[in-house]
Amino acid sequence: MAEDKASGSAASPCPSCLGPFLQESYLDHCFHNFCYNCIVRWAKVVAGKHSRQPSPSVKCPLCRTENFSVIHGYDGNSFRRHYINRDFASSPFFSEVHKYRLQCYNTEPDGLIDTFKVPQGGIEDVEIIVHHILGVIDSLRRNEHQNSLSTVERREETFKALVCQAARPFLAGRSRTNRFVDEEELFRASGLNTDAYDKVYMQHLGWIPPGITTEGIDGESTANSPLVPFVYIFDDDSDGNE
Amino acid sequence: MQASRARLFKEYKEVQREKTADPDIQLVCDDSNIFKWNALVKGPSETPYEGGIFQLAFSVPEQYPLQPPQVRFLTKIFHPNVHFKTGEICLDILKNAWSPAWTLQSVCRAIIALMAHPEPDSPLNCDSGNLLRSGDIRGFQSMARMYTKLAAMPKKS
Repeated sequence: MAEDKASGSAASPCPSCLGPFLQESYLDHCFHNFCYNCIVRWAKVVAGKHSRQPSPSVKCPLCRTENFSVIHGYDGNSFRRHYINRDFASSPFFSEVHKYRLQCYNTEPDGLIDTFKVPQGGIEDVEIIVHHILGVIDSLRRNEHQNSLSTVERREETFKALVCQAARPFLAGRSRTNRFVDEEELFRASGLNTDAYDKVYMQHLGWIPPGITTEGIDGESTANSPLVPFVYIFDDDSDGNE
Repeated sequence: MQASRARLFKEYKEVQREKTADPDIQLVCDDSNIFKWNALVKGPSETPYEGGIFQLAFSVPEQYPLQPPQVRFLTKIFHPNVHFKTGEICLDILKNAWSPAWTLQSVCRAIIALMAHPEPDSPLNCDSGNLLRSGDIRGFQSMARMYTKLAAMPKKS
């Protein structure tokens, strides 16, 4: 049995470890596939050789095509993307607020659900969502009077579905969109304004809010945020396979 | 098991299976150390190395396959890209152009290709390189042939 498996996977093993693919991932230009760890480790080795200015690309070990990101975690609907040598935590491209928001989307939501009890129903404060989603919600509320949806739960469900639909083009993948809606719901449930909510959230993440700038902020924030944020929410093209 | 060991073990199994597949290469792993390999390669035909059997020594680093193996000729060879005394090989894929997709087997193939197509512009053996660069093909071939007969072919009794 074990022998069968070994010979079956040997048909096309990972070119780097020669074993079966673990977290199969693809380079974005030539689409050659590797284990996620194999290709990311290789990219790091190549970057280490030119330590002064790490190139934002890696040459494919098979065909030497230049590639800029590793596509991984493809589940039929969505995928993740690891950009070569892009360290967002220290990138000047993002402001502290951007980084904070990115980290929110890469953190498990469980903790804050305990902090704010999420009640069902009620659309009071929608400051956080963009104008487009606002419009969708407005039309939902207008239709609500006509359709007179019976229960609170039903209304909440419809609301969630519509916001999902509205937000999906801007967020990579279904799980990300659901996450956004959950975040949004959590925010509404908190009854706080954006600033107050962010403060609680940052406290939860172990961040120092951007308002209070101290010398030690860099060391502090990287120490407490091992998660590397990816730019899902800015990726227009990464949604193409939906 | 560390990654390099796991990968070398895979290569070992592959070599055992393919033993008859490439008649020009015979790769053997050291009995006690999987990081030490030896290879016997046949000199390519229609070259001065034809008929010779050349021994290569592989020393594989811990970071393999992220780092290339170190390879040198144990058999004396007169070739522009091989150091005459140490057997060191000047080959891009063993240095900057290394990629983890190369295997010990494919490195052997690359070395056979290098034997057939010397690069006289990056010589480790200047005498050999100069002969080729000055256009003295005949001189180069007879020197290479002589050393092949001396070092890489069975002695006539």
